[in-house]
This record gives sequence, C-alpha cells and structure tokens, in this order.
Amino acid sequence: MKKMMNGIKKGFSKFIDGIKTRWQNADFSPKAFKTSVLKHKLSLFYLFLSLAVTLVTGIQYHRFRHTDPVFVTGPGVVDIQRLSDYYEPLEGTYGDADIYVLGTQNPDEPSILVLGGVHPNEPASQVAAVVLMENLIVEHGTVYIILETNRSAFSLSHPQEATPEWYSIETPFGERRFKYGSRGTNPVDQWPVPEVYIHQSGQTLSGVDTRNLNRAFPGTENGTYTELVAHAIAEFVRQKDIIITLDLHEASPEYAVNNALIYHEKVRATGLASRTYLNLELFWGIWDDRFAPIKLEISPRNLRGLTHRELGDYTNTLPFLAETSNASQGRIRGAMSESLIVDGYDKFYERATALGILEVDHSEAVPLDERVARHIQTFKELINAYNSLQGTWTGDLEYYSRGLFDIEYNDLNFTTVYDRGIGAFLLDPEDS
Amino acid sequence: MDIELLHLIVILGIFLIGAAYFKIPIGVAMMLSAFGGIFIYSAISAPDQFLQIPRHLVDGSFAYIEPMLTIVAAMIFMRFFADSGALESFTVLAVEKLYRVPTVLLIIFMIIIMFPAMITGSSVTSIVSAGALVAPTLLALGIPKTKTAGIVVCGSIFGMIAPPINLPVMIIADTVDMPYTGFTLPLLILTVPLAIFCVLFLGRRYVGKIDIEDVKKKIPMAIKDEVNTFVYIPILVLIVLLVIVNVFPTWLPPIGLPLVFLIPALIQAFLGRKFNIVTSARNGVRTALPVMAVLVGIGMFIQAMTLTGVRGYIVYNILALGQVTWGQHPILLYLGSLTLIPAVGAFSPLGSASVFGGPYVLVLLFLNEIVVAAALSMFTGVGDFIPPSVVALHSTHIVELDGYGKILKTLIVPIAVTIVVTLAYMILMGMYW
Repeated sequence: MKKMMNGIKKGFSKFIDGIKTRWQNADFSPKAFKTSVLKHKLSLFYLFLSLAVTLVTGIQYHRFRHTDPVFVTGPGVVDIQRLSDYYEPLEGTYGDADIYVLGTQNPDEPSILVLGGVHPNEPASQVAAVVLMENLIVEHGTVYIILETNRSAFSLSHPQEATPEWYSIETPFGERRFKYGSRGTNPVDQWPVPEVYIHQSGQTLSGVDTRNLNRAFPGTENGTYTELVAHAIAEFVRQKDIIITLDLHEASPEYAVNNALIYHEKVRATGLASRTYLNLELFWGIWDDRFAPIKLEISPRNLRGLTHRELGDYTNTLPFLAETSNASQGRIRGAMSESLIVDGYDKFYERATALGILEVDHSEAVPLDERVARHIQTFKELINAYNSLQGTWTGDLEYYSRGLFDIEYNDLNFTTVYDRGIGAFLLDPEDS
Repeated sequence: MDIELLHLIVILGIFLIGAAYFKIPIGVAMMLSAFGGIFIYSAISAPDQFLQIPRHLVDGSFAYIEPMLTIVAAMIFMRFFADSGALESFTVLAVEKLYRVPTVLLIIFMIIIMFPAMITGSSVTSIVSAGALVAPTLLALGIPKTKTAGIVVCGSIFGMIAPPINLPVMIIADTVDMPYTGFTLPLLILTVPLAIFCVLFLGRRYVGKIDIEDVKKKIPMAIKDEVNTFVYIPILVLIVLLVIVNVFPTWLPPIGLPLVFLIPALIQAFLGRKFNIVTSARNGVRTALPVMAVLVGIGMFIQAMTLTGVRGYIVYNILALGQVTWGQHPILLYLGSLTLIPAVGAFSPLGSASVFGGPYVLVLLFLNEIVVAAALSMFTGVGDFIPPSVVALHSTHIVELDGYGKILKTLIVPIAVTIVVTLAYMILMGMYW
C-alpha cells in the first residue's frame, strides 16, 4: 500500500512538473500566437462553432426548463398543496408538483384524484386536467388534480422526436401556451440510466423506462428520482384515502389499447368500470359521428409499474387509466409541428386508416379539442357512474359509504368542448 | 409526389455527396445533411423552424450522450489494459492453454465476445471490451485481419440479441404493452446456432492444425516474465461490475457504464507493466473520437428525418407493403423487414426497433408475437453489420485496417445466412411456437 501511495505521489508530481516545464517554455509573443492560430485555424473554427452552438442551445434550454406555463387557479380551487407535503424528500426538487384541491376536503366525503401530465408528450392529458381545474365547482366531495405529475419530464424535449417546446391554444382573449415535454424524467434530475431497468416487482424493462413515471409505481423511498415521485403520489393516495384515481393519457394511433379505459380488477366488485363504460357507450350511441367507441380493458397482472396496476395493488384506491389517440406521438406521423398537436391531422395516418392498419379512425383529423373533450366526458361519466351506483349496488359497498359527489360542471362536457373548443373553457390569466 | 420524398432526397443527397464525392468524414457529412435537410424544410414548409435549427441538432445528438461516454471510457480502459501488458499476457495464456482444441477454442472466444453484450444489451460494449481483448489472440492464431474483425462483429451483434438482455425486444415489447418474459428460449434458439456457425465459418479453416511453435514466434512470449496473474484483476472487476449493475442493480447505486469501465481502468494503472497514464488515456480518447463524431452525426440525421416527416414516410410505406399478401403472408412486408429495418438499424438498432417494432408486431399478429419480436430484434441487429454503425466502424480500429469494405465482404455469407435463418424462424416458429 505504502509503495502504491509513493507511486501515486511520484506520478502526480511528475505530471505537475511536466505542466510547469511546458508553461515555462511557452512562447507568449504576438508572433508566436499568430503562428499558432494560423496553424490551428480549422480546429479553432470548429471550437468556436461548437462553443457558439453550446451557448445558444444552452441558453434556450435553460429558459425552457425554468419557464412555467401559466395555470389560472379556477374559482373552485380551495387549496394548492404539493407532493412534498406527503413525501418530504421531494421538497425543493424540480419534481415537486402542485396538487390543486377542489371541494370540501372532508375525509367522510368521496374523493377523486386526476393525474395529468404523467407523460408530457401526451398533451390532452394535461390540458384536460387544466380545463377541469379551471372550471369545476365541487360542492360535496373532493377533486384533487395534478397538472404536471412528472414535472421534470416537462423540462426537456425528447431526443430525436423533433417536437416543439411549446404549443398554443386559441382562446377568446388570445393564446394560452403549454409545454410539450418528454415521456421520461429529465436526465438532469436522474442520471445515469442503467441499460436495464429492473422494477421492484422483478420485471425487466429497457433502461429508458427507468425514467418513465408510469413504469415506476408504486415507487420506493430508496429508489430513483422517478420512483420517489411515484412513491409520493402513492403516499398521497394512501394518506388521503382517495376513492377513485383517474390517470389521463394519450397513445399513438397504432397502439393497440386506444380510446380505452383500463381498470384494476378490484374495480369489478364495485360495478364502477362497467357502469362508466355503459354511460360512455350510450354517449357514443348519441354522438357516434364525433365520439369514437370506447374500449374497456382490465389491467394485465404481469405488466408492472403502471398506475392502474400498482395503485390498485398497493393502495385502497380504485384506479382507472384513460387513453385517447394522439397522432403527434406516433411513429407513422409526417412532419412534426404545433398544428399536428393541436389540429391532429396527419396524411400518413389518414392513409394508414384507409389501409386498415389502425384500430382507431384517423381518416379525419383528431384534434386536441376532441381528445380533451373525451377525457372530460370520461371523468364526468365516472362521477355519474359512482353517484348512480349509490344505494343501488349490492356488491362491494366499501367504496360507497361517503355519499355522492356534487360537482358543478359549468356547461363542461364533450359536446360543448368539441363545439366551442378548449379555448372557450380556459381562463384569462389577466383576470386571475 | 409527397414532399417528404423531396426531403429524403435532400438529406440523403447531401450525405452521399459529402461522404462519397468530397470524402469528408461520415460523421461530419451526416451533420451537414441534417443541417441542410432542416434548412430546406424550414424554407419550404416551416419558417418558424429556422431559429430552432441549433436546438434540433443538439437534441438529436443528445440521444447518444451515454453511448459516447461509454465508448470513451471503454477505450481508456482497453488502452490501459493493453499498455500494462495484460492484453499480450492474455493472448499468450489463451493460445498455450487452448491450441489443442481449435473448434472449442473458437466457440469459447465467441462466447467471451458475446458476454458483455448479453448482459448489457449493447453490441458496442462487446466490441470495445471483449472484442478488443480477443482479437489479438485470433490474429496470433493466424486468422486474417478481415476475418478476425468479422468474428468480433458477429459476436458483438449476436451478444446484443442473445438473452438475458435484449434491448430492441424490450423496446418493441414496451410499445405493444407486452411484458419482457418468455424470450429466453426463443432468443437462444435464434442466436446460438448462428453464432457458432459464423465463428466456425470465418475462423475454423485457419486454425485446423495449430503449429504452436510457429504461433509462439508471433506472440510476445516474454510478457510471461514481465507480468503476473494480478494483471487480470481489472478485467475481473469489470465483469463483476457489469454483472452487478445489470443483474443485481439494487446492490449498487446506478453508476452508469462509463464508470463501470473507468473503475477497472484506474486499478489497471497500478498493475502490470509501467506506462504513462496520461499518454495512454489520450490515445484511448483519440481512438474513440471518430466513432463519437459518427454518433453525433447519426443523432442529428435522425432528428432531421423525424422533423421533416421522412421517418413517417418510410414507416408508412413499409407498412403499406403489408397489403400485398401471399395467402396470409405479407411477403413485401417480410422483404421490408430484411432490408429497411437493418438499413435504419445501421444508424441505430434501438431507433429501428422503436420505429418499426410496434407497427410490425401489430401487423403480424397472426404469428406468435414473442417470436416476431425476437426476429425483428435480430433484423435491427443486422444493421450493426452495416456502416456507419459503431460496431462496424470500430471493428476497423481493433484490427488496424483502414476501411470496412474488406470486412463487409467477408461478412456477406454470415449476413445472408442470418437474414435467411431469421426470416424462416419468424415465419415458421411464429406459426407453430
């Protein structure tokens, strides 16, 4: 050991001596400088070019990460809490998201948690949550809404997906801007990423999924940053004894589970999934020209880490996950633009529909208005189903002991959002 | 005509003119083609993208920040391993112990090459570590440079596809909500026979009768007196770290592959023959630089293809091929799987899996999806045989050849056999598994 330490010391002093000698022998005259510059002019050009690109993109990235979209606190919001209120280690970190509270907060009344922005590259998820937060008035029961569930993933663009950083929604008072983020947590908050992600259940996934919040549930206190956020959400659900959790998502049109409602098997005993499905089917019966048919799927037991599996297994809540079809996150899409996100028209998806490759219909545009409207109607029918089963359901009654939700929607439903556009339901930040 | 076809012509045109006519390095040619592609796209269709060009270029290349760090760390480790005398010592040891059983010797070397990729899921890990370790021994046994490089390339690719970790399959499975279970046997059936065939096809004829005395003249036997067994400690540390990080991740905090290579490199600095650490490290970085430049270029290239809609254009047209069927078999789609999936895989096997995997599995639902995903992962891996893949380009450094052309020529039969076997595997096993 002593020999090794002497070796290290000797090597280090030799290294320092080498630098000193070079410094002493260096020629700092203007002539020598000019010669050196001319000799290395190409290298210097590349060096300055790289520095310039680094500087420009670095400033742009810094601005993007530290600029938040404006969320206008709706008239029904009674409190804004944070995830760190339920899991302290998140305090002061980028992932500490706001929880908007609407309603009475009475633990003896029913409660629902809406998760928006688990995947920030699925815009209808966040926008639907924002519309609900800015419009609902809850008289009985409590609605908790998280708009940026994986907040860190809103702070970067996904490499090689060429997405815009922001997209805008037209409103009567001008534009409201939202961030289009990545599917996974920012490497700035969680790095390095292993080649393989082994979920706490033992499931093996690609290392990329280490940063995917919807593969990290139920989370763990000793885990990665993403697992800490998942743990905080699970902890919130446990502490508040949330009855229903609705996790809003979008899927690429070629994805098999699309325009779907996925639920944990324990929901079956409550009748809630079937009744919600039935309500949405009836809705489709009336509005079949606008409202695509809904699929009802049960959470696969061997697909771990997702909200509809783990929140069902590890908390008392009844978890649901809703999907709408989003052309801007698919692999068949053409050029990427804000218009594709908001207007939802893509010629390759139109052709793919004609070929019968897709299970969802993209023969026409599927705009953000329609996708958000669909999520809002799903929320509404879930609440309607819960209320309608009170006093009539004879199965598992544990979840029906806290009375009815009483929610004022202020004209918010699928058809109004579809017809008037999301912008009509977004509040003016100036009036906030 | 779709405007995307024009963008494809612009992007590929700039790349080909730059690389083939002006002979500029491949990485730089790809950067220029990405820049040109986005510039033309902005001018024609999206003026708002002009100011976003720098961001898109950086965003695209950022996908490879971790592979780049891994490559540079692995190159430093391998440089230290070589300069400390450990590599020469390993060559001498392997030849002395195994020359009597040449077939077994070649198969063992193939397994050694495959091992790092099997447990990390990355062919690059294999070629920069085990590939560089085994290549000098293969050369010493009399196998020509091109064939040696070919064996190393095959081992790295089959290692990436072999279980337990197959990243392309994991990515495909994730896109269709399929758990990564039940793949071990199908992947072993696909990879092991191909790996044995390739190593014997490329190397067996040169090691039929090993004249040990002749071989000893070619290898530095004196190294036996210069270093002792301790010189191998770093390689053992590397294996242990790779296994822990990938198989027992809870035993260590996530340290990342770059550190996995740098820790044994640091230990190597104190073992074996004395060498100048700074010079060796600098040489290691120099070797890694061209590959890193190509990765930056590929990243920008893919970003440009995605932004301009060229990616969607290619994917849609491949899936449209599925309409032409023979019985229930979409024959043109099969043709696409063995041409375009490897072609995109040459830029990034994982990117190819991510783009084509999900749609392909969904179109081929009449076949067993596990078998289809396994076969598709092999097709993405075939891309690694083709430049500008990192594996292809790096193989030239390992055997000190100037170009990849001659290596690719020796690999024509292994590539053809791999494609034919994989296609037959996908259709036949997919129907009856």
